[in-house]
Amino acid sequence: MKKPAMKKFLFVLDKPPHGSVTGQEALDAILMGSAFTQCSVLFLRDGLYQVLGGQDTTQLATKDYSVTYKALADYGVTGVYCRQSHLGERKLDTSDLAIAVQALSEAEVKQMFVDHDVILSF
Amino acid sequence: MLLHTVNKSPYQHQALNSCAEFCTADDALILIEDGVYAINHPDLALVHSLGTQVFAIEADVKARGLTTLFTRASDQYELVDYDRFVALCVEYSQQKSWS
Amino acid sequence: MKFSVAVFGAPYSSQASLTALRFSTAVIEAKHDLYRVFFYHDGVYCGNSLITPPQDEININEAWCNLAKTHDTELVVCIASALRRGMLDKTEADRYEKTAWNLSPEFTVSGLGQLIDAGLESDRLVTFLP
Repeated sequence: MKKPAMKKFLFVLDKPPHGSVTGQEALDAILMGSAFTQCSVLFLRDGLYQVLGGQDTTQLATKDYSVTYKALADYGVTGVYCRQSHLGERKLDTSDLAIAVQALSEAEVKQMFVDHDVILSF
Repeated sequence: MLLHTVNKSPYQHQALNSCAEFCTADDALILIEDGVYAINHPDLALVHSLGTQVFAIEADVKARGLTTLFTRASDQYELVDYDRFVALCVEYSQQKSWS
Repeated sequence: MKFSVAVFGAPYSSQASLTALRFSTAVIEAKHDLYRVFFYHDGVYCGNSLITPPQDEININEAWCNLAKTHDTELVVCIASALRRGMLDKTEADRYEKTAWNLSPEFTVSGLGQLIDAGLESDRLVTFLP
């Protein structure tokens, strides 16, 4: 077994925001993880909507936690990824997203899974 | 070497389809809970054709009355108990849960 | 091998907690070490001691408690998820001046750091989503 401190965590989100508290609780876990070890985030399919720009939850009276996603880099989470084709399917571009997300090919996403020691899915 | 788990019917959810996108011949898939409804779904055939080993929890298959359907496809999919599920987790280095 | 299990689904609403229970039992029976079971999201409802199903149905809360009592398994509910959903132990109920509490004593309330620690310290972290 690797030394615990050397383990890399991959957080995978494939659910959209606001329909459930999943995204917010995933973010809490990512921030906690970043305090202990190296963490990356992978947005798949509707998970991309977690970081879509222009979210305004004022009328829902819920917390706009997408603001906190913008702070990921401050927590040392620099590896933020998605799959290129999932953007295309949704007629989105990385410029539509509120944070910098690196678009990967299918093969690169597969490698992403292999390169991490622990995968946490939400 | 990933052990994928899928717990949703492919007729209602994208979980199996998402899994199929990233499965490799080094990986295995275990169908749990409503995931076992995938038995005759094209996405499961796709996963199998990639060389990914496919398992299903016998208790979930039996509970849903799918035993006959799985028996017909027994050359492709293996029914397992929870002990084997644990053994598969030992064999594969990470688990990726799709829901 | 050292295992940890993460449960994200509410009992009865999803099968996740039941599958996790069967899996955890199998981990113990195979003589592996079950380091921790961490309850997150709706999984925290597994700690609800007030769960009272009909007598011919499984009591999922009781089943987890029995696992903890028999095998000394550590059951941890995430404090933020638990408080948000009204799952409180006596300490939290006193702190927030609530008149009742409902968490079974076999469950411990702790922070998300326990989930990360489970991932770091275990050879395998197996997640059961709703």
